[in-house]
Amino acid sequence: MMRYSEISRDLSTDNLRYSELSRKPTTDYNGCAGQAYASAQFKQSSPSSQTLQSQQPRPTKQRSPNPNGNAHTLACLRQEKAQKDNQMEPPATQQASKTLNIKSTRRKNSIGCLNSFSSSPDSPGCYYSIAASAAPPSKSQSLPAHASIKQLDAVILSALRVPADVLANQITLLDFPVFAMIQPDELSSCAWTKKDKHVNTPNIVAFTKRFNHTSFWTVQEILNGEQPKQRAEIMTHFIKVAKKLHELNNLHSLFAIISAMQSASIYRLKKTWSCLSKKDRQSFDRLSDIFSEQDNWSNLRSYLESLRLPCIPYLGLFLTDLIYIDLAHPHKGGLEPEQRRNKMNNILRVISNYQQSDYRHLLKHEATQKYLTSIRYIEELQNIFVEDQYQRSLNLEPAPPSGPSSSSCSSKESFNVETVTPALGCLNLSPAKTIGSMRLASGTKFVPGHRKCRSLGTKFRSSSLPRNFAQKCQCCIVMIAPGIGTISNKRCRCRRIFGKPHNHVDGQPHHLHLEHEGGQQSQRHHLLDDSVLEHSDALSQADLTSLESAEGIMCDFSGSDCDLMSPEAAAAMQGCVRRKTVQKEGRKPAVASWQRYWLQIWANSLVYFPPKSFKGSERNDFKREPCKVCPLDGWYAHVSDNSKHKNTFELCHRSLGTVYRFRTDSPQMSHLWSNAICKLANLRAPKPLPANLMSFE
Amino acid sequence: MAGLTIEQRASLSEEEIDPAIMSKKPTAGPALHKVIMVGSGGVGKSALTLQFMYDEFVEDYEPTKADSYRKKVVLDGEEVQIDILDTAGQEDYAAIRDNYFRSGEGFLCVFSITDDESFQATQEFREQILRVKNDESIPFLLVGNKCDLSDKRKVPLSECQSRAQQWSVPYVETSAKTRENVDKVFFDLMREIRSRKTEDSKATSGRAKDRCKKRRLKCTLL
Repeated sequence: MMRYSEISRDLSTDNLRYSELSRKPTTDYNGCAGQAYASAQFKQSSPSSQTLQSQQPRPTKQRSPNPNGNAHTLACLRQEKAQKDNQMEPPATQQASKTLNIKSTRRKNSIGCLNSFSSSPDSPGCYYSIAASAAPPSKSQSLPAHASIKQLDAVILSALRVPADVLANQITLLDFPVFAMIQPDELSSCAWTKKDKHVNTPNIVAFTKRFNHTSFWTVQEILNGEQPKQRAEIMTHFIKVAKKLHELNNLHSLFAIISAMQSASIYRLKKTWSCLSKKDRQSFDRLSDIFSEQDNWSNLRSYLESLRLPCIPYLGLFLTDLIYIDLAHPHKGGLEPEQRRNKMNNILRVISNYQQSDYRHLLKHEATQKYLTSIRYIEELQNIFVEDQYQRSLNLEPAPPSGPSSSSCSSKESFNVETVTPALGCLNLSPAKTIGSMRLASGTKFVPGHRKCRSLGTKFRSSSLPRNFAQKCQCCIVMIAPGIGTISNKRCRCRRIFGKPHNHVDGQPHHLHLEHEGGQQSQRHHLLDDSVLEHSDALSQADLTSLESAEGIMCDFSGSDCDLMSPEAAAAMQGCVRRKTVQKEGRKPAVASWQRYWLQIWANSLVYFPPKSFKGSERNDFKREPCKVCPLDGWYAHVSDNSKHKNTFELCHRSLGTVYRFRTDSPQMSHLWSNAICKLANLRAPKPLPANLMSFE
Repeated sequence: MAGLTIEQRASLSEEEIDPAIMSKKPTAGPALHKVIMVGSGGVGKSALTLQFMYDEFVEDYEPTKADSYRKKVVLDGEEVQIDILDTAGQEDYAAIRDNYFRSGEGFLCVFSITDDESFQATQEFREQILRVKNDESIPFLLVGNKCDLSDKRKVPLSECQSRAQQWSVPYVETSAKTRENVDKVFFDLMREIRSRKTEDSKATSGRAKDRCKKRRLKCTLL
């Protein structure tokens, strides 16, 4: 997980890669068409189905990579490609492809259905289609057939494939209902900056999320372009969208797109900007001028006044005004001061006027809306996503080298997310404290880079990770826990894969055994990750390309939505550990000390929570907010043979030459940890499934 | 000096006006210093801003006026304008930050000493600012607000100071309620901005590089 930036990128490149393959006639995998179809739907299904989706990604991820799974993937991608093409083709062709697909789904229904739903929990199709149809998790209702037929032409994987005006219209149609829901009480409460904002001002929060979502998507799409020219093309497309939004008076999303293009990740892409036509740049400048903060946003204020309905304003402006009115004229109980009431009411009136807007003339375009709502965006993880994007940006157009920190900044993502140096604990009150601060104080000239590179251990939380992040983390673990299985066959599959992670803590012997077995097995196949090309031995089981394609799909699920968690939250692998850096990028650190953390596995990442004080090994002795999140891709763990520390295990990166040693309470715990980590790191690796579970042949 | 009100300051500095002004401000109109307030929601950014801008005349405040956040002040005998950008209430609109940080010349990074989370968040803000400005010596003050609530203090003074030291920036505790150090933080920051600007203009004209170094050195010693 955490590799959000790769999701669509991988998919799109894979799609390109497979476009050729798709032309070859293949009959073998017809049965997969429905699944493929459904898998695509997964990516763009509506929020209503997300509850289901969020429970399902894990197993699927596990599932696709197997000899047949590769074929699945191939077929899937081929199908996706076809779908994509259909998307933009004239209706006649669409019709044709529809029939074709109906056929294949029918076939699936008649032949594969039983198989895939009961005897073969391994086909990705059943998960996808369940998710896509948003039906309650009962077999009969979740048959893929109807869903597939209805949404046949509904696969969009890139913004470029949708005309700008369609995008703008659909964004507006999605924005407006959320905006219209905002209640005057929410606005006058000024509670959206407070901790319980989700309770008191849910609609304001939802509307803000729309903004961030749109903005995030814009950045993501632009960064999907591999070459400056491609990125410029995408940017041009978004400028077109922005112009359309401007025409629609949707200032909210217009500003979201403008902000995206002014964000650190995009703004710095000089080569890309220089590929834009002069005309487009001018359009962009003109549009961004509206949102200049100069003179108390006077451009925006006067522009808003000049507008007629319909209009979706940029709400943030009013939010600030309201906060200031609240402060300048506080309501100290009793009668509301007149000035306060007047000024607040003025704003409330203006907003409620905008809420009367009528956008009904815009036609709903189902497929585009699905595409737009399928963009996985988790507000709470925003910082991590933004980091990831920035990293991608740096990789695409590296910063001019200057100073030592740039090298560390441009290294692998996993390393960047998890930045650990002896400077760690400046605020941890750890023995490394003095050294840490000295190191930093002597810091060289700042080189723009990964923000986290600079933060080291002093950062315990990010501004936008809310208090409940930890709980959410815990919730997310449900994704990988057996709780996923609302459908029985799925559950049994999950159990096989995950070996009941929630039982790890109990340390029951037979689970230990199970885990151990899994761990052993995983050692053999663990290499599908960043280092995949360097370790060709890992690929002996299947050809490289299909593995990569499998990964593309898997990535998608790894970023799944965590705010829609099932209440079946179970405890997962977590506990108090001590960690020491043994080796960092091939070098021994000058100073290494044991640092105490609450360590938790979340999705396929290790989440570290810093200690509150010197002592204690209970959850309460650690902060609620994580200080580090380390994706496990590329890492493996093993119990160290070191007889001096029986309770230790080591976490090693395959290619970076970084090794951490962990100390736990007991040798057993160390075993559990290392096995759990191997297992998770392994999810990205292909794993052959038992042959008897394959059902199509 | 810092604890004085603007009026006092103005009267104090009247004697020593001229040479400085003549040399520093050859162009028309007072210099404009763009200050940006950053920090989590609810730490009192806006309270500090309002206190500084309006003092007891907060009734005059009108949110939508173009010059609501601009004020003429006398800084060490020189008339300057301060323009404060505070997006209080828009904290969750994360995407807009990068761009307005870009326009800032100096930053007041505010947290509440009664809220550890807001203190932790300063790290994130600092990094984001450095990333956008690409300049580690950008005028920047770490401000611990709500120091009147010392009985509810959650962030130890030593922690605040060590973070400031680590960043090589001054640390000041303020209270928007009692007005303690409110002027000080804005004036200190403006001084930094001003000296930064004169430095830059001198540096670009090729002179006084040594002074530049001196200043940097002073900062690291902090």
